[in-house]
Amino acid sequence: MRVPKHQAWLLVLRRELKRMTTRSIYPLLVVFIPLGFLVYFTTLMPEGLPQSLPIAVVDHDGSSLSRNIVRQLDATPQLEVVAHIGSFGEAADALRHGTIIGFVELPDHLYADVLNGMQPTIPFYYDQSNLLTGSLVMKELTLVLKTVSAGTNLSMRRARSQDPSDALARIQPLVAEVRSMGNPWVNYSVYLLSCILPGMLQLMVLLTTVYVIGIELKKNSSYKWYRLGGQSLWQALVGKLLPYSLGFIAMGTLYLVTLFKGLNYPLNGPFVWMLADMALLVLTSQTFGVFMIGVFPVLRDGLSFAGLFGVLSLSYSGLSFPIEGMPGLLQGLSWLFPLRRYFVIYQSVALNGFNPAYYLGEFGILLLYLLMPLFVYKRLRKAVVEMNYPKK
Amino acid sequence: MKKGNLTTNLRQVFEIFTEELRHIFNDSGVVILFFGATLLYPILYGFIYRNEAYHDLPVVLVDEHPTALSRELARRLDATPDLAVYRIAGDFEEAKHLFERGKVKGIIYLPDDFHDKVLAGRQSQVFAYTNMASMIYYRCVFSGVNLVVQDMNLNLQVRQLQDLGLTDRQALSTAEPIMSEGRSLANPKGGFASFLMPAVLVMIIQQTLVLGIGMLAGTAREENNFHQFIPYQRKYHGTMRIISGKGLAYFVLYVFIALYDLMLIPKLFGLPHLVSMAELVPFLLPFLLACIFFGMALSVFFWNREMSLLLFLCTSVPLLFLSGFSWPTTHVHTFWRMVSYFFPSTFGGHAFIRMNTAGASAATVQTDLLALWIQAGVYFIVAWFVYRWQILQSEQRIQRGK
Repeated sequence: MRVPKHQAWLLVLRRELKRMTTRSIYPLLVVFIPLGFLVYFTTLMPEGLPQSLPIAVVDHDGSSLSRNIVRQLDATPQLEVVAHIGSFGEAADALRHGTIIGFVELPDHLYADVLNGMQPTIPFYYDQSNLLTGSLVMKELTLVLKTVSAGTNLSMRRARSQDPSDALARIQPLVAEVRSMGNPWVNYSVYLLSCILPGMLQLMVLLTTVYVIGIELKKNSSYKWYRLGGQSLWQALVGKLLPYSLGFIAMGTLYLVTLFKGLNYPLNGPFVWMLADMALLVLTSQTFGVFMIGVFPVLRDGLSFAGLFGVLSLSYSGLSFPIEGMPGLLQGLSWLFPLRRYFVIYQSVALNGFNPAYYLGEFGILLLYLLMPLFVYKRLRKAVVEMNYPKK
Repeated sequence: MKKGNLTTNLRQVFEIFTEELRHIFNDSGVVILFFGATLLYPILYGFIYRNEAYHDLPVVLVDEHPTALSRELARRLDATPDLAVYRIAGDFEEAKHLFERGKVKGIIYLPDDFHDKVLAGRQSQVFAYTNMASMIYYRCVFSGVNLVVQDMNLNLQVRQLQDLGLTDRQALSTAEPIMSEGRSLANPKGGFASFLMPAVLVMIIQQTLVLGIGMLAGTAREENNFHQFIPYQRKYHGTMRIISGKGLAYFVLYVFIALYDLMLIPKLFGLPHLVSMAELVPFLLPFLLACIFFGMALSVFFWNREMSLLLFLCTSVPLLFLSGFSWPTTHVHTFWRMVSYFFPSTFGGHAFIRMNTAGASAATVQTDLLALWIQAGVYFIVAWFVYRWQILQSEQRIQRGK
């Protein structure tokens, strides 16, 4: 195939397509592993929030009140009373072991003390070694015990013959209505997958980009590749990376379609902005990959760098722990991670449905990230031409 | 072939052991994994999550009709550890604007009849909005607002009962006939690092071992003429000796690495650390063995030195979720729970979190330890067959070459 010099990238493209279709590693990286992530994370947690978390009751009282409390605990969808345990010690052991996540200890004379106006205290215990289940159990236990107290309050007032309809407002004059915008059901999957799936895809883009360039250096074929690209690193890079751009953007689109269309995750803004967000995440990850292999033109070092960065990106997306809650110096590093920008745009578009004016700046930063290869252009070209780096 | 006596066998194991150590230290890629990643990654994570908890989430309070009651609410919200009132806005538009600009993470809205309803003896709502950009935002708003509302309800009620002529004591016991008090027995401060780090530390040990062993095997195969990862030498005949020798090399190094990661790092960052050295040993032994033989069995798939990084690194995050970190294992889809049984990190993560964070003894987590021993045994056998097969292939090729 003869082409004008400025179209040499087409030759590189053709060469790359041949490589992609003849070696099994490429479909694995671009299609099967990303597909695996999608299947894995969408099926991992069948309930949006864990239901029937195991708790126990230590009932020293054995009164109608204590039985009523147990009934109410069991009636809470998030909780399930799996055991009645004789002593605090045994219950604490079960909690340490992890068979229960919390327990309530109903004290001796509970009912009698309530009737005598002694204001007894019911202690309850929970396990926050897992913050998700621990705080859920704490929240539900608090709620049930407050409700029991309010119910007792109500019946005592009724006994004093106050108007019952009036009584509820008397005991709870204020009611808190906490709403989560964008994710009204406080669904953990929605929360987690919106960022972790793009994050996993980014990891694969980074590794793949480093690999496809690094393998040329390792196999001493990089000069051939460079010559085919008309002695222009730009053309060589475009021809080589373009098929992966398309492949990964297609995969990212599949992610978004599955989440927003298939599983009906909240989307309060135009879908097309999410597509743009995803496409730019893929492209910036590629430019970061070029940067990495440029800095370390040894395949294995480049891959280590990509892996470290890819996994760290998830922390720096701010998904697990808010960036502004991190120590000051480490907060600044969040500007080095495209996934952070992706996630900020996702929040603005999908969760909050903001006006584009609020997030166009974020897109601007993503576009700037596309310039990353400029920093290593000379260094990478030298490595590609001279092939003088260690191969191991 | 005559069987060698015990001393020669041991000498050969020792030779393979020292040979493998030489391989490890001569390979900068493996050194980065075994020593760089295991030593530095925990420190990096320790610093990122150093603050443990999130305090004073900025919120805006929309107070359409300021009264003594709404001002009290504002004061109390600001006083909670969870929330900080960034501004009191007169209308919702202003609050929305602050929210859109990212100045506040939540909006608390009091309608203009907020106080009037209370005075009229009707229930009055406090609306709170936050987004799910982070679970932590939601938790701060939820617990902050509920805490304040409960406190104020109690106060309002007590005041009203006192007005009706009840004594302080009577008013209190009527308003709150039953009190409750919760206490966390593990990770009492609910710290984020305390929650994340133990799971990550266990994962780092497993992943670096599998990646490193895979890299060593891949390199050996690349450099060997026959692309086999066992150099053909007469004395290497005993597959058992090869596996023991190599395994011992990884084990010795990782005893130190694991002690650093699992004992020193939690102390260094002030994380919960309830496991003693004596309790850690019965865990560490099967866990390291399971990881090592798992890595050796898996190394057959890594046909050159980069394959482990390329193909196995990406399992780190998915595997973290199978170790019961965050989403409870009992609630994971059955299929994935079955899959999780293949990985040492599943039982290792669970056992270590129970012991380190919740203070369980080794006896309490014996099911996990037993599972790790079974894995170690099964993967040893798999590794034996894998290595045996490689040796036989290598021999055949050499004979064909003659």
